Amino acid sequence: MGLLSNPKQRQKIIDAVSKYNNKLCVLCYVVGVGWFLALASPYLNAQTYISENALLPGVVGNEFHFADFEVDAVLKELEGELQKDKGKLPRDWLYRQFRMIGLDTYMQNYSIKYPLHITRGQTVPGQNVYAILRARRTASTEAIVMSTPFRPKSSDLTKTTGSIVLMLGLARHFRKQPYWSKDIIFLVTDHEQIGMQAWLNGYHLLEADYIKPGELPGRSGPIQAAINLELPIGFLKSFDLKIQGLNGQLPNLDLFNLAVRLCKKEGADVTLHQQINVNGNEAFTLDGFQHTLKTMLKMMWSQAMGLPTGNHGMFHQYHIEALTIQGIHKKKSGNIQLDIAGRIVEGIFRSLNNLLERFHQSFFFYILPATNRYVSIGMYMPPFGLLCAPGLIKAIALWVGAGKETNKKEVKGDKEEKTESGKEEITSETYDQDREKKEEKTDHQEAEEEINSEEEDEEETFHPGSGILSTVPLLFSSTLMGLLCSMGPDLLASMSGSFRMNIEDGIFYGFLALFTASLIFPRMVRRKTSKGKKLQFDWQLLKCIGLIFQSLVLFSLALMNISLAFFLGVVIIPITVIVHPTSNRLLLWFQKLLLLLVSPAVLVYLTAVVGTLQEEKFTHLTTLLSKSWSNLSRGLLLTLVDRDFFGSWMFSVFSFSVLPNWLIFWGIAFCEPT
Amino acid sequence: MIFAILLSLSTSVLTVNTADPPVEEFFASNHTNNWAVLVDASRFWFNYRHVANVLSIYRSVKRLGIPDSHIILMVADDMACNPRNPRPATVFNNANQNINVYGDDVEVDYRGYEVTVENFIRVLTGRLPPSTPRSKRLLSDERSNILVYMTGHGGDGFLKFQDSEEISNVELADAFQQMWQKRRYHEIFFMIDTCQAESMFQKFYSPNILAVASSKVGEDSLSHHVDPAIGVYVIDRYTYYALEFLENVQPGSKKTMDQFFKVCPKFQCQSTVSVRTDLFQRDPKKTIITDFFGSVRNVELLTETLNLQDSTAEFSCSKDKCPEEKLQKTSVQLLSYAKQFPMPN
Repeated sequence: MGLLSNPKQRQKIIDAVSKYNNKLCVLCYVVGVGWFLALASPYLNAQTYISENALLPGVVGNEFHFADFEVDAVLKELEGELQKDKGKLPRDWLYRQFRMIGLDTYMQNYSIKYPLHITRGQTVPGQNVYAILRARRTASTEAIVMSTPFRPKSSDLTKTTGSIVLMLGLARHFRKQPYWSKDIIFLVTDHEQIGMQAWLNGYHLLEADYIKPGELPGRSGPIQAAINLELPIGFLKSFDLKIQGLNGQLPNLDLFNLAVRLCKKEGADVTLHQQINVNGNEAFTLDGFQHTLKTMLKMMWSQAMGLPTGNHGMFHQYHIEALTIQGIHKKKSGNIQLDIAGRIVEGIFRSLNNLLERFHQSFFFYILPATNRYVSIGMYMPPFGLLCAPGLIKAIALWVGAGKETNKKEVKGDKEEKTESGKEEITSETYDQDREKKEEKTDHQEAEEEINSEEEDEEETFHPGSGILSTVPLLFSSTLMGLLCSMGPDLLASMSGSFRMNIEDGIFYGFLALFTASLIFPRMVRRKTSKGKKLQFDWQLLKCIGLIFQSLVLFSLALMNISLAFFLGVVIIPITVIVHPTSNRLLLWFQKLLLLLVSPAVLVYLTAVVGTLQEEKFTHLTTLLSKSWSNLSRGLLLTLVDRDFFGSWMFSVFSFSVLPNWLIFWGIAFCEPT
Repeated sequence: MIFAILLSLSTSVLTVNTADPPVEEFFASNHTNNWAVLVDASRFWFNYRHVANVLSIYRSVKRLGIPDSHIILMVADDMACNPRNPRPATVFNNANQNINVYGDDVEVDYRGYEVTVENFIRVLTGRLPPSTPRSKRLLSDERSNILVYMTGHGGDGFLKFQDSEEISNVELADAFQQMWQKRRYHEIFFMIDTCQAESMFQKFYSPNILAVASSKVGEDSLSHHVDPAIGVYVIDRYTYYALEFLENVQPGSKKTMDQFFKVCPKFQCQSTVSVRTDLFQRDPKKTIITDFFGSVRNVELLTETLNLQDSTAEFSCSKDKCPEEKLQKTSVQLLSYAKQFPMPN
C-alpha cells in the first residue's frame, strides 16, 4: 500500500535516490533557490490583511493636532538644552515637561559595565526618563509603550528631536482623553539599544551581568506593544518602518500591517528599507518583480544580520510586539508635517488600546517583499526545504550507496569466479582493469564489514581508516575549535592588555590566528602511522555525518531566522555537497579554494563588504575592501558585545555550528580518496 | 353599569364582539399579553454594534408598550462602561449620536457572563431555579405572543455565545417545541441578525412561529456604519433598517408583518433577508406588527351600555350553589383553545 511501508517500494526509492543523487541534488538546489527568489512575485505571495478583529484599524477618527502646544517654543527650549549639555540626555528638562503635562514621571539610572575589559572595569552611567499615563477607568493591568531614543548632536544617526517634541504633544493630547484601557508609557532612552535594554530589564526585574538596570521607581502592567519613534524635525517625505529585532525576531505581522494601514489613511508614503511599493499592476511586470525582489532581499539581509534595526528590537525578546517608525527627511520634497505623524501614532495607539489579548492572530514568521505583500512561513518553507534537500539526498546516497556496493560485489564476485575459468579470451587490458576495480571493491567491502562489525561489537579491534570511530578525532577537534572560538574573546581580551594592543585589534588578530590554525588542523589530526600526507578517514561516513549535521543546523536556524538560514544555505550547500577527496590535484585545489571561499572568516568578510556597500558608494574596489576590513574588526567586536549585552546568539551560532561544520568538510578535502 | 370596558383579558368578553368585523380583525391574534426576549450573544469592544442592536430593539418594543417586566434583556457585555468608550455610560446606535439607547431606564436582566446558552434555554423553557426573581423569568402563558430577537456572530447552524459556546439551530428548535408543549406561547416572532442567520430557523418544527433572518445560509450579515468618534461599527444593516421601519410604527399602527418582511432589500442589506411563514397559521399580510412589537391593549370607548355576564362569578360560586348547566358550559369554553394541544389521556 504505502510507498514507504512496502520494503520493495522503499528499496526502489532508495535505489532511485542513490542512482540519480547528483542530478537530484542539482535539481533540488536550482528549483529551491529559484522558487525562493520567485516568492517576491505577487503570483506567489499574498496580500497582507489584519487578522486581529479587535484592532479596528483606522475606524476611529484621528483628532490629534498640536493645538495649544507651541511646537516651536518647545523645540527651541529642547535645542537650547541640547547645546547646554552636549551628548547628555536633557533629563531634568524632560522630567519637568512630563510633570507639567501631569503624568507620573520617573528617572532611571543605570550603569553599563563593558565586557572584554573594554573600559578596564569602569562603569558608564546612563539615564532614561519615562512617564506613565494611567488609564482613568481601569486598573493598571496592561501598558503600551511609546519610546524614542535620545540622540546627541554628535550622533550621525537620524535626529530624534522631532519625536521628542511629538511625544510631548501626544502625551498632552492623550492625557485629556477618557478612552484609554491601558496605561501608556512615554519613554526616552539614552545610549540607543543599551538604554532600552536597561529599561526593559529594570521593568521586568531582571538582573544582568553587564547592564545594571538599577531600580525602576514606577511601573505599570505587562507591556502589550511598543512603538519606537525616530522622527527628525521639519518636513518629512515618508515613513520607513523598521521591524527586525535581535536575532532576527520580527513583530507580529498585525502590528506591521496596522502601522502601514494608518500611514496610508493619513496619506503618508510608507516604505520598507526605504523601498516604496510598486503600483498595483506594475508588480506583475519584470521591473516590478525586480523591485520587490530587491526589497525582499534587503529585508532578509537585515534580518540575517541578527541585529536590531532600532530600539524596537529589544522588546521582542520579552514577547512584546514592537516596531520603529522612522521619518525620512528630504529637504525639498518633504510635505508631511509633524502633526500628521502624530495622527498616525494616535491611530496606532487607539487600535492598540482596543486590544483584548496579546498579538497572536497573525504571523510571527514571515518575509516582506513590499509593505502590502507578505510571504508566510508556510510559503517559504517548501522552497527552503528543497534548497536544503541536496545535503540530505547526498547523505542518504553515501550511506546506502556504500552498503549496496558490497552487496552487489558479493553477487558479482561469484559470477566472476565462474566466468574467469570459462572465458580465457578476455584481453589482458580489460582483465587488469577488472582486477583493479575488484581490488578496490574488495577493500571497500572489508571496510564496510568492519563498520558493521564495529557497530555490532564495540570491543572489536580498532582499524585505522574506517568506521565511525575513525571519524571521532576529526569531529572532536572541530568541536574543540568551535569551543576555542567561543571562549577565545575573553582570553584574548585579557591578554591584549599585556601586549599593549587595543582590544579590537587584539580580538581581531586573535581570531585570524585561530582561523589560520584551524586551516592547518587536518595536519594536526593526521595519524602518525599513516604513510602519506593524506588523512585516512572513512570520508564517506564523515561527509554523511557532516551533511546531516549541516542540515540539522540549517533547519533549526530556519525556524528562528529564516533569512540567515537561507543565505548560509545558498552559499554552503553546493560546495559541501560537491567536496570529496580526489587524486586529481587540480580538482583538489579547486575544491579547497571553494571551501576557503565559504569558510566562516571569508563569509564574515563578505558580509562586511556588503554592509559597507549599503552604507555608501565606492568607486574603487580597494578602498571598499580596506574599509570593509576595518568594519569587519569593529563588527566582530560589536557582535561579541551584543552577545554579552543583549543575548545575541549570532556569535555562538558561528562558533558552535558554522565553524565546526565547515572544518569537517575542510578535513574531507584532505582525506585519502578511496 | 359599565361605561368603558377593557377588552383584552377575558375570552368571554371576546365572544361579545365577534359580530363586529374590524374588531374581529383586531382580535385575530387571540393573544392577551406580549413578551420579548432580546439577546445579544457576543461580547468585546469590537462587537459594540451587537449591543447597540439589541438595545435599539429594546427601546422600540418598550416604546410600543411592552413593559420591562415583560422583557428579558440579555446583554453579554457592558459597552457603556467599557474603558475604551469615549462617551462613558452611553451606547449609541447612530453616528449622529441622537439617541442614547442605554438611557436611564434600561433594565438588563442577564448581563455579562450570565448570558449563556443554558440560561437562554432555561429562560425560554421556564426551567429556572426556584430562587430566580420574577424579573428574570419569562412568565408567559398560552396567550402570550413572544418576540425573540437575537444578534451576535453566527455560522451555518449556530449562534456563538460569548467567546466560549454556541447554540445550535436544533437546540433552539427543541427549546421552542418544549415551550409549545408547556403552553408557554401563543405565537412567536423570531428575528435574528447574524451571519448565515437563515440557518437558525430552518430546524423549527413547532406551530405558530414566524421567523425572519438577516441573511441566507452562506451569506454574511454586514454592519451598517462606523461612528468615527467612538471608533467602532455602531449598528448592523438589517437591524438598522428594521429600526427605521419600527420608528414609524405607533401603538395604534396598522402596519403588517408582511410590510416588515420587505424591510432591507438586498441593495440595502447586501444580504438577503429571509422569512419563514409555513409554521404560522395566520396570513402575515393580516398580522399587524404590534402583535409582536407592542403590547397594545385595545381600549375602545362605547357610547351604548352593554350588559355582561359576570364570568368570574361562575368560578366563585360553590359547587352546590351553582347551576350545573352553567358549570358545564364554561368548562367547554375554557378548553376550546387547549384542544389543539397534544394532551395525554
